[in-house]
Amino acid sequence: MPVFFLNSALLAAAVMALVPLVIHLFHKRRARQDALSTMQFLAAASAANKSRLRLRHALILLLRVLAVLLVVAALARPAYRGAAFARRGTAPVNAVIVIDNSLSMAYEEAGRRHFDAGKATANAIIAGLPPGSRAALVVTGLGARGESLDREFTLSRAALAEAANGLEASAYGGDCAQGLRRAYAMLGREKASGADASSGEVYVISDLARHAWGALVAVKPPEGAVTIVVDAGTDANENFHIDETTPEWLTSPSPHIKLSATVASGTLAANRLVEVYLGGVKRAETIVALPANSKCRLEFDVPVLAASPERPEQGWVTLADDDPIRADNTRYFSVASARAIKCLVVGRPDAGAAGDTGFFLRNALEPAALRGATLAAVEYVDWQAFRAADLVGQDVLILADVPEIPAGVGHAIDDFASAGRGVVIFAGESAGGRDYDALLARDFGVTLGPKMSPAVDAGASLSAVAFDHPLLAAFAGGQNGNLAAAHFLKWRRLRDASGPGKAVILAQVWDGDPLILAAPIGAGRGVLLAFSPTREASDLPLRATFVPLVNEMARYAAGDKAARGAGASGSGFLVGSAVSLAVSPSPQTTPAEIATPLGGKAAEVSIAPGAASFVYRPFFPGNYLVKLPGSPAQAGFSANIAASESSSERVAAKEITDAIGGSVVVKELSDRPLRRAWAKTRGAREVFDLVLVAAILVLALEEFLANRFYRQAGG
Amino acid sequence: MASYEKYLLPEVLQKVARLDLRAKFLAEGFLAGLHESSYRGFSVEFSDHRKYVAGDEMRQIDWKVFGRTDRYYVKRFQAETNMECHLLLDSSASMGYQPAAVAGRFMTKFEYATAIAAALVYLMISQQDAVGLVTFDSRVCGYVRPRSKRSHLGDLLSALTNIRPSGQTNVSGSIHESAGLFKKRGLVIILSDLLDKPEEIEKALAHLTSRGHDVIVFHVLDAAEANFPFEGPMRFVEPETGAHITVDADSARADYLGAISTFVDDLRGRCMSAGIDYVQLDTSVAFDAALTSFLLNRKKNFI
Repeated sequence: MPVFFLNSALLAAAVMALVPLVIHLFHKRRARQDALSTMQFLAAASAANKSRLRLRHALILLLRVLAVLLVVAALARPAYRGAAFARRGTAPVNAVIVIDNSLSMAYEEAGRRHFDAGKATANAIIAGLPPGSRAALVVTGLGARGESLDREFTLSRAALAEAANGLEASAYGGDCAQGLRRAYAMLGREKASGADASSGEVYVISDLARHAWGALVAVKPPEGAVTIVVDAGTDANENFHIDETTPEWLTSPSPHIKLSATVASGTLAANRLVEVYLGGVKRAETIVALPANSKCRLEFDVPVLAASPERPEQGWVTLADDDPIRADNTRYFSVASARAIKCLVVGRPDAGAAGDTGFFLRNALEPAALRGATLAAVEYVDWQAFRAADLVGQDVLILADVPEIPAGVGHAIDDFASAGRGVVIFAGESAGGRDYDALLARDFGVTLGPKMSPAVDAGASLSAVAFDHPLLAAFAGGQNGNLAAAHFLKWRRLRDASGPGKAVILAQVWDGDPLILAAPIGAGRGVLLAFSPTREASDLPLRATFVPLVNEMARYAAGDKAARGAGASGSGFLVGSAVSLAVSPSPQTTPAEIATPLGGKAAEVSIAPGAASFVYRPFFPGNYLVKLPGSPAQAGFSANIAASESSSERVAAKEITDAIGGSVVVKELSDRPLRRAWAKTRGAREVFDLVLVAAILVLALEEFLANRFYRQAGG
Repeated sequence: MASYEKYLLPEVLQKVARLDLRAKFLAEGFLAGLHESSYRGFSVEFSDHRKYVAGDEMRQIDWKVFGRTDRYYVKRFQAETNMECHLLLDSSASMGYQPAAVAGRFMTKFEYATAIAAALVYLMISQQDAVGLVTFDSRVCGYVRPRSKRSHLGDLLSALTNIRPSGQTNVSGSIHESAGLFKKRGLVIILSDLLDKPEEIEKALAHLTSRGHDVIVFHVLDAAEANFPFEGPMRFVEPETGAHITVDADSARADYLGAISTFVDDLRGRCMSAGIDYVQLDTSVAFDAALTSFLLNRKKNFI
């Protein structure tokens, strides 16, 4: 429509046009009456006079109504859209600027980030709006604290420019299609409010990265609105980034983290240095040659030098060299260490170092012996001092070929194992007695038989090893030593006791005597080894495979107690997404402290009474540590940027114009399609001044004619 | 202004309530005004002499007396006593209404006409003329036969006092009807607003002249009717019929004045062609205009 009103709500005041009409009718009824005998001389002229009178009244009335309507129309800010104004573009508009602040907008090209160029474009758009225009800002992503950065319509260009200049590219930049919908909704609300009837202009400043336009479906803009997409991106994406990191905690042969990372390249082929940091210290590095548009999977084994069951291991993988987007060059990881398994070793220390049956076990398990690389906490007691009370607080009981089971302790061991704990029994030459047989019969279904020796001096080796069993799975590939290479010189033959226990044979000597058995004991687990952990019985304690075997047995026997550390840990969380952290329910509100990557004061979170978990939403990539209430242990997790944010794939302009009716995609604000779009929205001139002048002229004419027609009527 | 002359002004005379006094003041005021004028002496019968004063017409000097006395004397005459005069007074409702625009400032047409009639009666009775009175609206509604006795003055004034304007106008019909009442030819003076068809009025006047009457028509209009002082939107009501019309007075003024001027000119033309004296008056005009016209007529007929 050529004529429209920028403040159409005021048109309701057109009802004021009734006022002169009412006044006119009121005065019409109040014509003065008088007698006139010579009225017949009026009659001749009355017809013409009456017509003239009506015409004059109608003219005056029309002028008065017209004056009121013109004043009302002037206040409603009329504008005329015509070809004459198409080039000048002076009509005010309602403009919404949608800024894509996804990570890809941080791409730096020729020393300038796309996002900075986009902000400059936004400033140019704001500065170029016709006088009287209102503008709003839609930011596709959330703010640093998860808050919306959108700004409602304002007449203040400075405020809007300031808001735009304060924006930053975000690791969770949101969805341009959603931003468009919000912009259209803003325009719709503005139009529905009736406060303004200006044309709508929606600008989307984006690099057209597909990850930000992924959900683009047909979007219908409000009537009269045009959508202008300003392409701030480039087809040449030379960005390198790390797609993902997958850490895995391994304890064999020693505690270490097996880390895999995928490094991706853009349109540039280059060598890149990849570094791995753990606990803030660089622990590994490699140089990878990346062809263009390729991905390379890297694996690192990072030893854990000082594992602590109280906190997770955290680190990051980074591309050492700068590239157009730096924020995606680093990915963080967290992995929880295994919880310390409390082992009670019962041996024969009185026999001296050579005869100490627990000597090798203690050294395999004690942290001090292996520089803290083990996860076991070992207590060592003499078999003669061993009491049932010693089992309290322990996860695993290891009987290191003790001569006898002290009286009354056998059933305590049954109860200990049945409650979900583990029992590892080395039964060699020293073992004997009724209590032994009773215990083994109950738990494994065997009793001790004769002492055996190999037929050859070299000793017997293991055969029929069940590497598929969880206990021995760690030895299947040989990475923890060759278990079958051990030679056994002395062992005990086991007899079937036809008891309730039902053991599984995991390994046996060549002549068929079972040497390693495993059996469930109630809710717990039991492992029976028919030899003594001494060098006289075999060369196993001297082999490298002994330490992993002992640790795996302890882990296996401990069962669930060897699960990963407390709370939620992991590296798969994305910034902006919710992380659920498990806690022990508490009857009252309890605080938890979260150390964020930003440093400084830790964030404090209140955990509701009775809650088994709470949710935290990390907004920065990095490693987070959570101090849980009532526990010295810490949970940890890593938040990373979604790999899609680094994707170099772009949406074709045609896809956008096909999906959004009446939209144009331009590279510069001076492009011709944009000028044509402006002709539709701004190709009008506000004619407030002309209408006001017309109103004044009409009033003047009315005054003149009224004075002429009724100049003596007031007497 | 002499004390009596002021009574020639309608706005002054309307303050005199009694008609006999009005007649006396008006007639004597008029006569006083004539003191130094040429209108005295148009009677055909000698009355007396007075000394010549500067301004008297030379032809009125009695040269015979000059011859005897060597002094200038001027003859004065008395009117004839055997002339019969009929006053036809329109007493229709239209004569009694007065637009509010001029109410209080001027007499009504009826009051104005009555004052003239009374003054004429006074004058004519003083000259011993026989004077009769006919009042009419749509027809003749009152008739006082002409007499010349002094006592008849009271009868006529009494009759004039008691008339109340009412009824619709039928001027021509009433004149026709009146013509049948007059047995002897004489002077017929018509006082009316003549709101009738001019051609009908002309026929009625011709009826009078055909019977040998001298006719003087005093066409009395209200000052408002003559000048149309109304302003703005007006709703006019016709007093006799109740018909009404709403007009913009300012825009209708020119048309109205043109129409009424045409009407007056038409009447005047018709009267002149019939040898009838036509005097157009409105209630703002001084009475001497009417009385002078009467005396001119007397002079025309009797010198």
